[in-house]
Amino acid sequence: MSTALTVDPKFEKQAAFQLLAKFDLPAGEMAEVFASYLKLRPATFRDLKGLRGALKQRGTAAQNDILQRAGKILSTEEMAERLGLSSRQSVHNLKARKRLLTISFANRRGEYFPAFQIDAGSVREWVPHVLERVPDGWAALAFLTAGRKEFDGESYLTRVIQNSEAAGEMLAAADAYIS
Amino acid sequence: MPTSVDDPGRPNSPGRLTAKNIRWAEKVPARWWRNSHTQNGDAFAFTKIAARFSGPGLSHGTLYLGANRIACFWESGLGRDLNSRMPDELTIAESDLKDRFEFSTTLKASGLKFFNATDAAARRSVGAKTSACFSADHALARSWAAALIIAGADGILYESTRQSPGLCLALFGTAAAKGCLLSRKKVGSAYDDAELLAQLFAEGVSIISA
Repeated sequence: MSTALTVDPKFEKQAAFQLLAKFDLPAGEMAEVFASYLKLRPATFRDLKGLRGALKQRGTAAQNDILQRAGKILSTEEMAERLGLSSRQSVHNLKARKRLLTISFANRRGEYFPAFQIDAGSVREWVPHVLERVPDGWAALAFLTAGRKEFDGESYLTRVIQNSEAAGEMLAAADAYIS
Repeated sequence: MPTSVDDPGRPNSPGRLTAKNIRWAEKVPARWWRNSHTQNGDAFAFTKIAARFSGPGLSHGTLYLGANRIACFWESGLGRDLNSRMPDELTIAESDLKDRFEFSTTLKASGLKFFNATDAAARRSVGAKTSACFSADHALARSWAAALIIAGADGILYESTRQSPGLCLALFGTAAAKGCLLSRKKVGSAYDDAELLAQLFAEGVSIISA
C-alpha cells in the first residue's frame, strides 16, 4: 500500500482526497495541507472524479445540516393537503410552473417540499421569485438557509419568515448569485 | 507629546484628474477570463449594475475580467455569495457549478489607457492616498472610476479582494475598449475545472446533488 502511494500519483491523489474529506479538518488547516499537497501534485483533468467524489462526500453531512435549518419537509400528498389541493398532479403543476421549491434525494423516491414555503394555505409570495433566479431546488435551499456574516449568522430564510419586507434584500442577493 | 494626525489609511475622494499627469499602466496581460452563469446570456456584456467600478451613474458599462480562472470564480456571483456565508456553511448544489461556464478572451491593449490601482506610483499620480480608494467602499471606488473615465481611462486594473489573489480588470465600454477584445471563447463548465474544484475542496466547500 505504501509503495503504491509513492509510485502511483493517481492513486495517491484519490487516497489524499478521501482522507482529507474524512478527517473533516477546519477550513484553515485544510487549505494549508491541501495547498502544500497541490504544489507537489497539481490537480489535472484526471483528478476530476476524485475531487467531485470528495466534495460530494463532504456534502452528505452538509445536506443534513441544510435540511435541519429548512425545518419540516413535506411529501407531495402532505403538500397537496396544506394547499387545499385535491390531487398530487396539482402539486406537480405548481412545481412545473416554478411556483414551489422542490427537492429530491438519491436514495428516496419522489419529490419533497420544504414546509416553510407555505403560509396560511398559500405559497409565500417570494418563493416563485427566488426560483426564477435560482431554479434548482437544492441550490435555492442552500442559498436560503446559509448563515450570513452580515446578519451575524442569520439566514435570508430566517429574516424573510420573520419579516416579509426582507424579501427585497434576499431577491437582490439572488440576482447577484447568478451574475 | 505627539499631536494627533488624520488617519493616513483613510480613503479619499478623487479631485479633478488630468490625463497627462496620470501614470498609465505600461504592461497589461493579454489573456483574461470570465466566469458566468448560463442565465446571464452574453458573458461579455458590459454592465451598469452598481458594483465596485460600475453603476448607472457612469457614462459607460463595465466588463469585469480576471487574470485567472480561480480569481474569476471568487469574483462571480456564486463566489461572492460563498464569501458572504458563515465559514462552516459553504455548501453549494452540483448545478451551481454545472451551470457556470468559464470563458477566455484576448485583449489587445495597445492604444488604450489603463489605470493600475495596484501600483502605488500610479495611485500617487491621481492623488489617491491609499489603495483602499479602489478596494473598500464601492461608492467611493465608483467615484474614482467616474473620474478616471472622464480623464480618458479605458479600464482599471485591481487586485481581487475576494478569497483568491489575482489581478482583475474593469474594462469600460468605450468604443476603443470594445474593439480590443479580439477573441471570446467558451472554455468549459466550472464543474469540469479540476484546479477550481481542488481550490473549493481546500476552502471547505461541499457539493450536494440529488
